[in-house]
Amino acid sequence: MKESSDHTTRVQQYFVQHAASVKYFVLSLLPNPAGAEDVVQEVFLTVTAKANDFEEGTNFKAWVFAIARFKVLEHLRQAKREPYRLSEETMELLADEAAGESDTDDLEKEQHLAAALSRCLNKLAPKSRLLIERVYRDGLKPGTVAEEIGWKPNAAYVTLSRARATLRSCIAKQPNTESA
Amino acid sequence: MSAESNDTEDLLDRYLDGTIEPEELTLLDHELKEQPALRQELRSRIRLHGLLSDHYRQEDGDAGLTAMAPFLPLPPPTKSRRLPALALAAAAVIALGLYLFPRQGSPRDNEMAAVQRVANASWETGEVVEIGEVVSLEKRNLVEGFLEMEMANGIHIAIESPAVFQFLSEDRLRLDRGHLSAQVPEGAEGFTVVTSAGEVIDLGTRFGVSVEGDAVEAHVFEGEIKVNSKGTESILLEKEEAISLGKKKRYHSDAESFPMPSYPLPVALQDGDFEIGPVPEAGIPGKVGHWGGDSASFVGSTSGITPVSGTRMLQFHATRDHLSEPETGQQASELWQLVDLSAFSDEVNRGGVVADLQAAFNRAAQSPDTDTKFGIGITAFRGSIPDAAEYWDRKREPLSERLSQAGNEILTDADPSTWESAECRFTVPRGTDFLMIQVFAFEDVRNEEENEFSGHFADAIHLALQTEARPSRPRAEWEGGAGSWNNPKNWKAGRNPDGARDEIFLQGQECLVDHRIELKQNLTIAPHNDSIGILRISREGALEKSGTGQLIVGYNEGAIAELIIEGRLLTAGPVFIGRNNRRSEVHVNQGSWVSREGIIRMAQYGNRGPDTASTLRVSNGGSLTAESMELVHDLATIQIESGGTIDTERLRVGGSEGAALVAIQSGVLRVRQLEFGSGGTMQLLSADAVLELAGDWNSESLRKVPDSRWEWSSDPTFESIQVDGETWTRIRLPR
Repeated sequence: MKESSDHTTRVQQYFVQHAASVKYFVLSLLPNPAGAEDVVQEVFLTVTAKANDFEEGTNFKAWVFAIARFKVLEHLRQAKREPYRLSEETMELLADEAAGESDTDDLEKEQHLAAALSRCLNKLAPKSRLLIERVYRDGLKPGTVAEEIGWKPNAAYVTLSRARATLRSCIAKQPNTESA
Repeated sequence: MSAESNDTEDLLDRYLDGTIEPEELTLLDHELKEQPALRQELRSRIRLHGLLSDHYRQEDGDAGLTAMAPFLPLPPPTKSRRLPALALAAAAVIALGLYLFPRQGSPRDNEMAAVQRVANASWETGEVVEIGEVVSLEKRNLVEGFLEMEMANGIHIAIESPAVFQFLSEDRLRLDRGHLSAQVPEGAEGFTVVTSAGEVIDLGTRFGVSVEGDAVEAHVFEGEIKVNSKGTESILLEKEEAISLGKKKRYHSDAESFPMPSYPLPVALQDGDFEIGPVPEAGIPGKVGHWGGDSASFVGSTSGITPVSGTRMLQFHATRDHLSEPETGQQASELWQLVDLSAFSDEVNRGGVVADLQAAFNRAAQSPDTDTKFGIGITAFRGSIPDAAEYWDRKREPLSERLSQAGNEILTDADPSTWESAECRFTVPRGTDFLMIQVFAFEDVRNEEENEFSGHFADAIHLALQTEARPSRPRAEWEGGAGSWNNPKNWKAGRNPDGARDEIFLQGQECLVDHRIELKQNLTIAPHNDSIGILRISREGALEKSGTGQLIVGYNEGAIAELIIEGRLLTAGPVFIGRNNRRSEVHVNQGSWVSREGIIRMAQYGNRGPDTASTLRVSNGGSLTAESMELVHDLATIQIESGGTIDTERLRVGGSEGAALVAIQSGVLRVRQLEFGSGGTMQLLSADAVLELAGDWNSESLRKVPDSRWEWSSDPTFESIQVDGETWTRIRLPR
């Protein structure tokens, strides 16, 4: 019994270590952040419940991504969003590639990326920044924001795409953020 | 970059934003399968996507999400919060244990606020708004009524129909239409109301925003706000200022035209923890800000009892002012403190202010003889603070200055290590000028000890006052020139009042009603200090107050008010002729006044300076039909002249003092139930004066009416008459 709970704790520790990878993998299948967050939590509960199924020495990410794929499918089914999902084949490719990434600790890298993002957000033009805020902070669709600030929807999409591109290239130039 | 790759990248972004169509997704999915580079690109974009949503989620400080934070060991955005990765992981795992249990709903349920108070409110869907109902992120259309919501961060929002609004996040609300006010507590600053014309940002305050078509206004009731109108610079707006977004001119904020959430009044007890002193003075204090009462002292830890707050506490000694005085037979050792509410007369007189009083008590274990009972009390008084002791002594007399009182008592245990607390909730009555807070130890176990209380303590006395949420009271104000009610130029807003919604204030020169007007809300003639107001209902005119709103003829210090009825007046709510003011006169001259479902009360608060008088004159064939009339205080007079008639179910003449007078010169006073307070007088002044009373009366039985005083020049005659099968008595002087 004791051994088993030690094992469970260890599996949980692996999960925490790779939580960022899990989150990004889930997001790639389910880009809605709120939904993805729910799914990640579900994944954690399943990982805990089925910790004994994980064999030490095997690829943890591959194991956890399989659970994650299942949970994403379940979520989309419940939310009646199945027409909006990638094919199983594509999901598998994404999972394989993400699982194959260097197995270093995610946490520190994440810290550097987040700090870089904060710096880069400050460099955005005010309108781009507003758009990013309305979409990511307030959870609005770009079209809704466009309506709100009197833009054509297309202008909002273009501005948002550019803002993202700017942020990506800015983050890449920041220290300790070699891209994945 | 080729057009094709551009299109694919566009699809990627639409996939992220959730705006992609199923057919497009099939296309994207195909491309992803074929191109490893595109999958790489997707992962790169997803990474930024995830970083961005985490970034704002952490900034939000959302409680549900904060709870998630340890779960996803995401790096905090600021350096100061950085932890070494391993420690973070360990902390996360510990926190994770909590998540092994099923969650109570998802932290992403998008619950923004809960409805706290409603008045006839319903959504566009036809659903009635209920207390406790959760308001989430979706757009809401309030088609009827008023509601108050409370957010998790303590922000209170009052809103009323017609209104269209939507919470965008925990600190942003979009208002498309309607009036709302927000009370933002400390720590939740930055709450923003988004409108089509710009944003209104709270800087720790109470403020209102209204949207009517393109017109957007921001009003500050307390504190400061920042207004970001589109295309202009930010403007800082202070208390009592208002602005139309996009315009420069500031004007006076108007709290009445907005619904208002409940908010705390900045009132507190002085030294409720007994830390500062001085030692309480004997008796009820004659001023605010310190304790007074029976023998007591402020002490540190003693008898194994430690103060519950600070380093000192109150020790009760005796039921007398000084221990050297003889035993008085009083049952409690009492301490008082007065709290001035005169600065909050607007809130208090509106009604619904709630006071919460708390206190902690403790006592030494000692013997079975030890007294165990403690108590707290709140009493509301009108009048002046230096006279508080006098008011207290006569608090049980009818019509005394004491308006109401509440209290609570507790029995304490014999364990000195625990404090017991007493709480008391009290609705502050309208008209309250000050509160008296009382803390006492009862002598519930009689004994002969020299020290009546040998180890009885109180500490941490806290008082908090809060207003009640309320709908707006849109008002129409008479601007001052003489003229017809019907001329919009005579009204401050430049439009005629909305009889159903607007509360009416009249001051300045005569306002003439020369046609039929219907009103539902309050009508106040001479509303402000030292104002003059005159309302004349001409022969052609009729004023019908169908709602339960009040008619107030004269309100506040020094106001002089006049109401002349030559046509018709119908009132359905209470009528006050003279309320806190100097002179009020109502003259029913040829016209008629019917008052139903409401009392007519004259001289509500008595003598308010020189020339104070409240007069009701019915003359020249004029008539008044009423249900209940009271001449409350001194200097209230009813005169019936040249053929006037008053017909009322009940009439009370006189209050506690002064010279309330009913004088019939010529005309009829018909009363079913006649009462007198002390100081009331009834006069029959000529052979044309008639008094009709229900029942059988004679000279002797009239004089037996308690407190009555009768004045007539010769002995009246008594004639029994039948009115609708009832016996009445007609009383008049012989010719």
